[in-house]
Amino acid sequence: MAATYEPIATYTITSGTPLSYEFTSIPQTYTDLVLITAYAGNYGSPERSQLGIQMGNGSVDTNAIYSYTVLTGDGTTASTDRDTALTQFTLGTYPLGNSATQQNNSIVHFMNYSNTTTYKTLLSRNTHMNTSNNTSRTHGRVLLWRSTSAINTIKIKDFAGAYYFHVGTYFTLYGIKAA
Amino acid sequence: MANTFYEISTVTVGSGGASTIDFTNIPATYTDLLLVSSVRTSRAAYHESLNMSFNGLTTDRTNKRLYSDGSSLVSTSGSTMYGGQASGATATASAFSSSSIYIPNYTSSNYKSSSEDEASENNATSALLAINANLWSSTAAITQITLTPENGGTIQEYSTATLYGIKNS
Repeated sequence: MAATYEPIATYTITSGTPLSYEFTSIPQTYTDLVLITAYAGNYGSPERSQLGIQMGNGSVDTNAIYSYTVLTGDGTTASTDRDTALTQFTLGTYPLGNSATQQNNSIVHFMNYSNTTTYKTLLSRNTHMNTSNNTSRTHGRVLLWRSTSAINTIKIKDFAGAYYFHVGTYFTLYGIKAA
Repeated sequence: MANTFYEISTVTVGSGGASTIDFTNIPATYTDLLLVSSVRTSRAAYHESLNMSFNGLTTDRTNKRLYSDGSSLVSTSGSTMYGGQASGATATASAFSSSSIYIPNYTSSNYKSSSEDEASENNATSALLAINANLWSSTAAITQITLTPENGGTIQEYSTATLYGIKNS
């Protein structure tokens, strides 16, 4: 059987204090993309930071054309929020007090990422868990990048650009073929 | 490029049912795990949650859950992990739930967070749709995954669960 789920690239932090990572020259030969992240960030305050993501074609698009709607459960309250005209997505928050050993994860689906006709809609799930449990939560999110450009660049970053990722963090981009 | 999505094991529940679904001796050769299930239980309700444990341990587990039954949206937390949803005995006949749980970095010495979505649809007044974040605060590699109906009872015949291993290279 032909391979239909293939790793395109993976980035694992083995040293240093990187603030971001870019997948570039993403092949246009798949139908959909899946991004898997397992990450921990170096943040002390505020309560939590956010995992940011941008995309583009040839370079990262920093125009204010990103929007999202999110469902959040913190164990007590179910809530929803949305925001528009952003210069990046937030995939979800990650909590204060996490050590390098306490990773969270986000799973992002990019459907029909290579087409040049439609805007790109993404779906994501995000865990935001820590041992104190006080700020833990779960997120489900839909995101829209209002561009008809094919996606061949994806940048993952701390939303504020202030906190680095711990050693052991990894980001993997998979391609899915419909046939 | 090689395919990196591997079936580790599939459990199909036979006649008479089963009290748990258990994956043992999980190889440490993958990067992530994905567990996909289609389950129905004997619980006299529309749906039933499946508790999840790793390595036979029920300690160090927490979760945050967000679910809707068609009329309300609720968030809960607790000292378990959820490994999917099952249709209950009073759900529409022959209806089985669908769930998937993604477990990154399962062999690492980090704590293990996992992400889950689940649905138990039903041709009646109540159904259930949920997303869930789990945390297992253990540095041990995951070698066993067990799914157990939260309120006891039996996992019904024709229920299935498949564990996949995913390599990132």
